[in-house]
Amino acid sequence: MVRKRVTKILLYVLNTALGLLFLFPLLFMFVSAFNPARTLPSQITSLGDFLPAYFTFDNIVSVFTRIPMLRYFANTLLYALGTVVGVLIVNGMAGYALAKINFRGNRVIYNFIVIMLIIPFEGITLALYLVVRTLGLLDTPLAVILPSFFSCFYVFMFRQFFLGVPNALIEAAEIDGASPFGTYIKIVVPTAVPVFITVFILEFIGKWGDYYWPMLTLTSEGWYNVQLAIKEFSTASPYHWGTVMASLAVVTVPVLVVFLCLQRYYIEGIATQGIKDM
Amino acid sequence: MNKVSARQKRINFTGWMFMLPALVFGTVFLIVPIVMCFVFSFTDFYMLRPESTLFVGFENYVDLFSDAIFGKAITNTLLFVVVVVPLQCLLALVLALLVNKRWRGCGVFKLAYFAPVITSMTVVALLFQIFYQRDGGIFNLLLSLFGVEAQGFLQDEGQAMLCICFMSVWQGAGYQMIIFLAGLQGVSRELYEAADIDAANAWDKLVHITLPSIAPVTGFVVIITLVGAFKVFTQVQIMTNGGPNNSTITVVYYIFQKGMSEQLVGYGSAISMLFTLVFVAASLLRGGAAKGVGLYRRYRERVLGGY
Repeated sequence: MVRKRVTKILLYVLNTALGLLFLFPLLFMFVSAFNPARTLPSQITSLGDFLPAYFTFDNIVSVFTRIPMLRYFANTLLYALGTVVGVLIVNGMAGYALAKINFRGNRVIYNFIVIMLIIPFEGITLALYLVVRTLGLLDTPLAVILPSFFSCFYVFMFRQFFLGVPNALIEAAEIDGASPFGTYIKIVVPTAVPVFITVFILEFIGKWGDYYWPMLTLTSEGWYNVQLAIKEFSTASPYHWGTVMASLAVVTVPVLVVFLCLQRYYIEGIATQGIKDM
Repeated sequence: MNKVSARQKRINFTGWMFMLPALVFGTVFLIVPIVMCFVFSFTDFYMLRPESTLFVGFENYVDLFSDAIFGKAITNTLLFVVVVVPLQCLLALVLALLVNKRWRGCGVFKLAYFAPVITSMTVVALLFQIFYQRDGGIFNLLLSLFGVEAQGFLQDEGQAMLCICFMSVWQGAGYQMIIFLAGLQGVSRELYEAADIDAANAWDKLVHITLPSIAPVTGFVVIITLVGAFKVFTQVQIMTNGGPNNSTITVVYYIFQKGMSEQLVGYGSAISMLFTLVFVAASLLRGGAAKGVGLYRRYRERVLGGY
């Protein structure tokens, strides 16, 4: 019994130490965001300089006044929500068709999508850039929204979920005279709310943090998302270390809030089929 | 010859209508780019002069073999993979074992380990860029406490890639931890109870019950970590731009540099094709390996009567 208690205490100590180590960079970021010191990094000479003398909102305010941060927030929200809506419609319908409609070609398409899961996005970016350019979408919101609509991974995920929906439910609706689309919207979708939330939050957080593709396709600052904005801001002068930290913190807070509200779905999404990166 | 019934015809129509949006977007933004990439890789397509594009056969691929920077990009990427994959998987496993308890407070620890995953790579990279600074960077200030002189970190050819590795391990381990946790929750309690009766200690339980039980999950975690590591880009683009002296240039960064910065789409496409081929080949190998393991298991079962 004593030994058990000792291991328990030991595990708590270990967890606390590791937890602090993991959180340290982020804590540092949040504390520094409120630090009144207007120093350049090279003016810092000891660890004590990192501790704020008092807390101030000046850094946060200057993030919003020196650059149009609200505009960048609005842009990012537009890209994230625009993408998510399309993702849910396009992949949800495809997943349903593959799971529950026995049409000719079903197996072929399913197998094809499983093979396509392997293709890394980074391998097709150059050609995708040219497609987007040919369509005249460069430097418009559609450049970051439309290419994300279809995703083999999400089709796969929806299909797996819809396979578990009882056929009797769908047949009953059809006997009642509902159209296939009506059945899908009124009967099937309400039973699949968890998978819709999971895809929503995976894609929303992904789009919020997206950097590579927006960097390639959005060239005017007016269309920047928050990630491009903070990268630009961190290289702009005057370089105040506190304001840069504030900009990083400001960009992180919304996504942390979304995560904390919907973490169960996010973690389920990763845990049960964490193959998004494949 | 059997006629397709009216009912089946209707089902076919419905199915294809449900697939239609996916087919349209998948064709335009996935299939077409793959085909274009393949075709471009055999041309000298230069984005500023697309009209003078010529077919050059395998020239791009041949050139790649003598391209020293491409070689550097491959070795750097492999270094990143070799350092990050084992460290991140091991760390993730340790974290998962640490929080896989029903005790109070474990949820908080789980969140702490997972927080860096939620933070975007851009934020993390910018943050660590500041930490790694020679003057006023927190790592150098910490080192100075122990009397170690200031290190170049990201400015040092020998250290830059390892600095990026270190940050990446910290940032991503929480993700793999979640998958490990899902695996750990599936381990049968009866096995542990039986071990308790045999008075097995914690280490024996870990080695003989936990690890074998989560072996498939471990394989899965290793694969997704490998796949992710091969694609390393954002950290490099933000923290070092491939420098100093190409010491952090990676394959994906090189695609970007050749294809976008220098606008040599033909050459960039050839690198892209090789990069994609590695993924396809690896997944074929994996399929083959899985089949091999399956055959071996069945053979063992037959010969040894199970295990």
